[in-house]
Amino acid sequence: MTLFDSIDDDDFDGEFGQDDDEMPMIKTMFKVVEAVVATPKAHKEPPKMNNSMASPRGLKKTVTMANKASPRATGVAAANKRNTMAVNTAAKPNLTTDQIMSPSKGGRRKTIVLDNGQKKIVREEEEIEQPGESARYKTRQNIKKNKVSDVFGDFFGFGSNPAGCMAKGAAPVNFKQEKDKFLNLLKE
Amino acid sequence: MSKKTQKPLKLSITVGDIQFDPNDSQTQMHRPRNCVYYIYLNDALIKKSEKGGSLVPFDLVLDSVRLTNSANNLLRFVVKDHSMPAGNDWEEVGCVSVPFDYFKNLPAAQHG
Repeated sequence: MTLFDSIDDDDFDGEFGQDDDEMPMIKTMFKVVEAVVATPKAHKEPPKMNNSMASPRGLKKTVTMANKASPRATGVAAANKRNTMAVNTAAKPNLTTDQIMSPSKGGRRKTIVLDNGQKKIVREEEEIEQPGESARYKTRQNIKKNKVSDVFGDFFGFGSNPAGCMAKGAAPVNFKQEKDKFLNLLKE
Repeated sequence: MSKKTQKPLKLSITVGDIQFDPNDSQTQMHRPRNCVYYIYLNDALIKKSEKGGSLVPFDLVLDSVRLTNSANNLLRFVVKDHSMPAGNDWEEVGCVSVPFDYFKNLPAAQHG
């Protein structure tokens, strides 16, 4: 090891086993009698999930894995599978099989809007029939129709178009007759 | 997994003769036989050689506390020429310090 002049700047930066280039130097030998083993960090076991910590995602994943277990699984694996299922059941006791299965397997679903403005997802066959819904729906439909008629009817100032005149399959408009009506109105 | 206890490092240190550059005018007045070796653990003197001889091997046990704070710990070798007047700048031959990091994770073997 090369000796330095100042204590403030005398850090050895070479490698053991190789002589430094500069002199003066001292030859040293270090013999490690008992090696120091770097202390490994204590292995942290993943926190055990209690009932309140079980996430729905984890539940679904575990159930899927259990379902995919090989039929030739050993007795231990089968026991683990049973334990896993038991834990999952305990985690969400109110969860039924229907609730965790894919929506595509549970039939078509539909989003409906309740009276108070809340949205609710229901299956099509379970669609909730609300009292007075049909009457309210028809009223709303009529209001829309009137609005559409006003838009097109007021263009000529004749008032709203008769209902259904814009619909497909309606009788064709007699433009000549309509023109005569228009001219008569101007003369008056 | 249980946490392993850290074993202390037992280090056997041997310091051989000093070598000078014959073409270096600043050190040509020193003679190896006049040199004395001091070994410090941080700022504490732990070993001193006799005048005119290499330092006999000695064991140094570094406990786990010092190793844990190895970033600031170092082993310093100071060489002085006792033929020069004490306190004179010419007394100082040289020094070198080895950080403890060098001794970390070293296998049980000879290094030098």
